[in-house]
Amino acid sequence: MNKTAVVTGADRGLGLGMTKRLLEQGWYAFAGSYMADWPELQQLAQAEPQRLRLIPLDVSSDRSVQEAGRMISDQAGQVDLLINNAGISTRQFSSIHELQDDEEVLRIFSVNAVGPMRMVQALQPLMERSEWKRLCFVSSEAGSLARSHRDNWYGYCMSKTALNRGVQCLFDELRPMGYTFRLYHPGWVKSYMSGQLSPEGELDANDAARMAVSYFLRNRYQDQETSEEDRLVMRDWLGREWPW
Amino acid sequence: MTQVVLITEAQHPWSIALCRYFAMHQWTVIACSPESIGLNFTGTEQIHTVTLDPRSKDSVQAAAAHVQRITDRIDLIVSQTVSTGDGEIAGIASMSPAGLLDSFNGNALGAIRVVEAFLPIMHQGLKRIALLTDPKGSLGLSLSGSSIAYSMSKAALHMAYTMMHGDLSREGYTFRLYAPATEVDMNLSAEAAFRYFTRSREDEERMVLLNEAGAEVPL
Repeated sequence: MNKTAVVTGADRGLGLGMTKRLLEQGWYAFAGSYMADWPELQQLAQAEPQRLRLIPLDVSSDRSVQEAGRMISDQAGQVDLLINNAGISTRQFSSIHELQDDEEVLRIFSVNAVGPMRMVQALQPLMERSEWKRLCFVSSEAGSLARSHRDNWYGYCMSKTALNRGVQCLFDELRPMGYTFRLYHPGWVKSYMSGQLSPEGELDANDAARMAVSYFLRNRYQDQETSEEDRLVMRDWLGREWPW
Repeated sequence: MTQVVLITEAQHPWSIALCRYFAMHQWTVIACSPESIGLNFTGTEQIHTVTLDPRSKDSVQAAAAHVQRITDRIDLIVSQTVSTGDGEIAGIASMSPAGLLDSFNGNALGAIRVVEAFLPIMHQGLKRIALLTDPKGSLGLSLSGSSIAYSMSKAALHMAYTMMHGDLSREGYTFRLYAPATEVDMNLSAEAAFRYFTRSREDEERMVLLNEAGAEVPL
């Protein structure tokens, strides 16, 4: 039986690329769409009407996430894979010598850190029915305390550190119930995260998606005595483990 | 010249003990608390009470304007977070997104608001920023059984301080992160905190979180 995935932030960039990769590999997918007027995801849905469903989804809204959960529940018996990809960045890079834009910092936190928690909370009943139960989180090196080197970008860096700690809490609770986790830094992607396509980056979105999906779908080493799945790590697109 | 310490969330019993300890050692103390909570330090001239709610940028900015009428410099900020996480239940099913945002706003963003507001009057003093925090936010320890909201807000706070340290240490600022124990004698704990906050360290280039016993807690 084909497995079912949910991808947040699938309108464009990395999220769209990952949705395409999953379809190519035979998955059914629910693609969270925040931008109804963005054409690429709509076109993909028209090309794959049987296996791709678009769901309106704003991960910063409790109501939107709950409604998305209901829509998915109505159409699918279970969810095997959740990819928390939706993320935003800042347009203002303020150091501590300037006043932070509090509203923007809170908005970034609500999308990047709270959003994945909302999604797990909403979809856990559907994931309980799956044997796979895989939770994937697109985080960032910017959340690494040990490698912190920035003196601005507070909202984004804090949101990713908080996300990583939230994933630790989820791992602590859900790993004993059979869930597996992928916490991931996708590399420096030419993305739309700041609102428009950045020409800067070391990866384009399709290459980043190829690397991400490969990592998300691959099992980690297990034998009778050892299970790599029992150790939560953040890895980047080259498989390098990042310190917290 | 007496040194000046600003202590946020000074309404808590432990903080009141800390305020008195600083005053006893001839520091001028700016004891801050939200509007709804009155502070009374009768008979202690060195302690000035100021209304400051870290959850509100307007409140913090107004407090900064008020404090500048009391003193032209702050040597040491002792920042405390708004919520303690007590009573919050661990587990994703009981997580409240609104509660998570509130925790972040008070615990993480609040601490930034305090530093950004008072930094302009710190450059002539001791240039020290202290924070009371909690190992539940530690990614290095990854303590189990913590509430998601509280743990995430504390982790975000630790990143904010890591970034501040990287930036401000180049200008001579020093940092003290402290995780007080809850079960020890309050006055002894305040005394230990006073010593840690006011003494110099030999490895100021690093930002470390120490507990009551002086042991380093990984961030």
